[in-house]
Amino acid sequence: MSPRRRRLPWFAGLVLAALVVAAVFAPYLAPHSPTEGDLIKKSIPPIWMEGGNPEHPLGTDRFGRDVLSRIIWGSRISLVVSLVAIGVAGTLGTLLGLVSGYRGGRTDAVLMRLTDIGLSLPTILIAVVMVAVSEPSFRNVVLVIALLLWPRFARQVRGETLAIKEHDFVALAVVAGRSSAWIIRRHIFPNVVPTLLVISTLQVGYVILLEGTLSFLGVGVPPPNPAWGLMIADGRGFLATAWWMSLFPGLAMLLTVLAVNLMGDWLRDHLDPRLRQVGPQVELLGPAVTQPESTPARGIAAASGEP
Amino acid sequence: MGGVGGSGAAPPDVDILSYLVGRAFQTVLSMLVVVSIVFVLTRLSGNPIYLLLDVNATQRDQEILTRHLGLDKPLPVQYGIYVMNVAVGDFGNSIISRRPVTEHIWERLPATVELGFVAMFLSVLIGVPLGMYSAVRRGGVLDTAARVFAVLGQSMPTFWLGLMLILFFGVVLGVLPAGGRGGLLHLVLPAFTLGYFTSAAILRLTRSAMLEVLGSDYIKFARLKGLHEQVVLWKHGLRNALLPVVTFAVLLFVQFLGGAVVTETVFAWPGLGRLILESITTRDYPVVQAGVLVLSALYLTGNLCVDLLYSYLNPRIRHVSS
Amino acid sequence: MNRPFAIALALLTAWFSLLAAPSSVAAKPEGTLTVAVATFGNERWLPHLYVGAEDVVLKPMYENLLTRDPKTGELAPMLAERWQVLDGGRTWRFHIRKGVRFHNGAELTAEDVRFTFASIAKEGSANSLAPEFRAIKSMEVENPHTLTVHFDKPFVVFGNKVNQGLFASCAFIQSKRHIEAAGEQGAERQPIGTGPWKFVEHVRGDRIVYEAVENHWRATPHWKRLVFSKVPEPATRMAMLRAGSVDVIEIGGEYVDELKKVNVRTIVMPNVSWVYIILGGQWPTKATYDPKVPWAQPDAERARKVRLALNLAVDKQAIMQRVLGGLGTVLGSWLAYPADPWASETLKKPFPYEPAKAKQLLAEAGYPNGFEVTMNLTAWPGRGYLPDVGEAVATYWERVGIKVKRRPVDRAVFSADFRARAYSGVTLAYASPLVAPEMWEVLYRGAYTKASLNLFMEHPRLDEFIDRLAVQPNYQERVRIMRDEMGPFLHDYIPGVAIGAAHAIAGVGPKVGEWPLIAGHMGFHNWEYVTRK
Repeated sequence: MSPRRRRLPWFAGLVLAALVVAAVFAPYLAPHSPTEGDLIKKSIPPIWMEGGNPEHPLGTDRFGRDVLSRIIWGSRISLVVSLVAIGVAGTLGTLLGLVSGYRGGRTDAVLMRLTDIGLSLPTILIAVVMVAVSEPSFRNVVLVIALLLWPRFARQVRGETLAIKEHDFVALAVVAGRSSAWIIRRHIFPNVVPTLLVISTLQVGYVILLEGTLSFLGVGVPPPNPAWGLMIADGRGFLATAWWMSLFPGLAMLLTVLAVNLMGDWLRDHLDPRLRQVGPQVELLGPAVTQPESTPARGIAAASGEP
Repeated sequence: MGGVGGSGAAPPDVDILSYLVGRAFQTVLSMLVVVSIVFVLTRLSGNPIYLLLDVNATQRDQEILTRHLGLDKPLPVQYGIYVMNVAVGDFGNSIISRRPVTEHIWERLPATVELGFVAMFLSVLIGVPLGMYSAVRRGGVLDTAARVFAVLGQSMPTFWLGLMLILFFGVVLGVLPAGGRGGLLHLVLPAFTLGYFTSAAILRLTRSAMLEVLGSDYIKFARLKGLHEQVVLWKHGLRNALLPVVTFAVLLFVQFLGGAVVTETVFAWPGLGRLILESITTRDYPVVQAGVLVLSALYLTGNLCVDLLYSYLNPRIRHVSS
Repeated sequence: MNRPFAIALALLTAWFSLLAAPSSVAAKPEGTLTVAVATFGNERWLPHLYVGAEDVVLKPMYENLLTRDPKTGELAPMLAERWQVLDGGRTWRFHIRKGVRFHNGAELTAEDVRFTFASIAKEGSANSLAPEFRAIKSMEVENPHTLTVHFDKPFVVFGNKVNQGLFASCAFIQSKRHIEAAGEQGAERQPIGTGPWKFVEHVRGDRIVYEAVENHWRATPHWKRLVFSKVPEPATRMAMLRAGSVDVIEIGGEYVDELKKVNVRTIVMPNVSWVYIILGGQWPTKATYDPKVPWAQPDAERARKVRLALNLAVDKQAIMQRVLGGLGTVLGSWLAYPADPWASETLKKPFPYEPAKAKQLLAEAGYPNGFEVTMNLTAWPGRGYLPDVGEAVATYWERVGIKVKRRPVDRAVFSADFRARAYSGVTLAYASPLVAPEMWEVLYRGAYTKASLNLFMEHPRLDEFIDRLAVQPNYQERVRIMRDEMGPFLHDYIPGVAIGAAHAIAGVGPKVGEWPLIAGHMGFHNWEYVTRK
């Protein structure tokens, strides 16, 4: 079946564009400092409410910090956390996946069991232990997330590699005496890129949520950083008196994650034919990507890992 | 072990028994690695004795307690003792309660299984019909709406969704309990919070599996035979698309057992995830170690079963669809 | 003989009359009172095994030798119907009340009390009163209802160690025979005490169920069942209270406005902790001393200027109003409640908020561009607002040019570091609960160089005060020393950043009637006096 291609989700595109603009131009866009507050100006409601202040369109938080400015600066944190964490995890996972899938045999067995182990660990709990070991800091949170993410990439890239390996052009290259490294670089990797793109996009949402979850458990990005997750977690007990503290960052997070997910779905559909070639199970990998609080859907990935 | 596990499923002609043994052996090895990782991580995270004694406790009290807990021995020795004990099924005693760790885990398991099972059920209940619909009406407005609804579930932190549900159904409407474990009603909100989050994954999975099956010659043939479209869809379509969904759901269930830390915390649900989380904060090494080990063993076994199932079923699926 | 509590709730009269009259007047207990708390502590039940946060959930079923008069704050009889202090404080004789029964029916005797004290003092004991009970030289059971305790040195405040109304570990009286017969494990699974509530069920980390003891010698509860539920998330506790699933919740003062907004009744427990910022590293004789820490440097003059600047930079009034929900009093001293007899006017007067002056002082001390400090953020049981206080103070400090790094740490890491005195150059918001009624007793633990641990500072003058106070049997004289000598010394020395004395609150549902509390007592207590509506 040749799928009808969906149109580019303009809504998602718009949201993501806004996110990037906010992140890049935060210092120019934000009316106030995201971290300096004045207790005297605590919990000012949004502008349209009684007691609102035009200085603070979305109100202020419990420490008198401007909510809008914190959301704008927070987009930078969300973006950086997800880009770096996914960058690190993606690079590591892709490398291992490529090697594992291409080499096969013992290397593959060892690497895949390692991946299994990585996937079998309860993500959140391990993250809490790791942050307790290293104490919460922006860098450590990113690293911990990356460490928990790489097996997802390894799993899927390996499955892809296995399928691509079967193609004639790879066999020809082998016959032509090309080195493994060359083949991986020139033949396998380019064919893996679309899948990578899809998984990475879908992971962005997961990473942003994970940051929030870690903040809830007290092991996220340390205060007073304007991380969205931290803001939501911080305001969760004040919904009757200062709902704006957590609702607006919550909306920002919701829109962003929604947008990246829709974008990821679109990408997956868009790149469908190529994914199709690999076999039915790889298509199943997509859904497995975003998971409950903790763990990825290893099952399907695992099942498809050994077709 | 390499050749067998590496290239994947057992080719039909390979002795299935040796494959099984090989995989089982690998799973055990994996668990050993898990034990080691958790052992090292917990030891690095700090000493529990400071939470067991008052800040004014003397050096001598500290030494006595350390010795009593066996924490005075060199790490490799502690590790050796632990691994040997675990090998014979002894997970030791909790440092905090001094009761057997297994007792604590058994105590929490019913609540966890209950929640995980209902959450999985809800997830499937939301995900499968929407996924089917989305596959059949692909690209339509309702397809988008269904997907947006499902994706919304995984667009906000679970703790946030949980609190909103508590406030709305527990406080504003007052129709559901706000927290704690009790009757069936107590299950609704936490299970929905957990299940809604994963329903998008189920939807995607159902949708692509359905698309896959519907595009197959098998279905084309069924249509050619002039079967009613509904019959084609439900009987032939869904049945064949269901296998990945079911296996996924099973693994989801396994994950819910330990992956529901936040939901359990928000809803004051006395489950395994919270037990481990709280044991991390008190540095109750044996509980953390055993808890994580149980969870990853469940996963690894589940994974193994799925692999075996697939290697058994795959040829047929292939046969059907090509 | 002890600190009087001027702030006595009107409700206390009811409590007092109940205390005086035996339980016969009380109606039959009915209904279930459900309480949601954040933590059960380590969930240990035996005196040498519980370390702290348990007291809230253990109090209903246990009793102490003494209690406090809620009106005057003076020691009052409980399991001991009277007591004598002999030999300048070297000997304490307790006359145990006759006819008090444990939940298994056995009568309480002096043997049980001796057994309890010995357990607390045992080697490896976790009880935070262990150092105090180890000062006991010998104990004599003179007859089944008289116990005499001997000390080498005068122990003038031993009565404060055996009473109800302290935070953290308490000397709850245990049954010797039950523990010896059932063994530690058995006794922990089926604990018994003499309190108005008896143990029914304990599901670790989830709930603890008690049942009223009918015809209790002191007070028969109004409620048939008392259920403690562990609900770690404060927002959930508030929702559960509003939804009617629980009747009482433990909640921090920072949520007081939130509860008011949704019309939830709150009960204020006045003056239960001193909030201040610890400036770590003021311990020149210790291995971890770092002379480069601005507020602890050897140049005492400059160090004091820095400490004063750190005080002046902070708007304490704003923190009290906006972070602590206005529940408390800003003070200019350390470890004194406004009503304490040693809290003189000078000590009560807060340090003003003068950022400009603070900047100038920093410049004079040699830090015109400020310096870098770490602010530890740790939440303690019942004091969830501490990270917020730390954050607010950090923001104020940043305004006078100090660079503040926030470091969220959990309690395990914190405790280990604390013990190792790893806090040179580190500051932290702390709230000291009432672990002892007289301020020097707290300092004995917190600052005495000869004590087992230094929590935040050491100073020879301080040691001298404590040496004198510890053997001064006259309460009035102790008050004088604290008011006229020790208090002014601390006020002048400025060991940390004083914020003030804070209240605690509880959220209460519609089924709960009156709930008389002992002033200054942190954590829930007096369940047996809670009436039904």
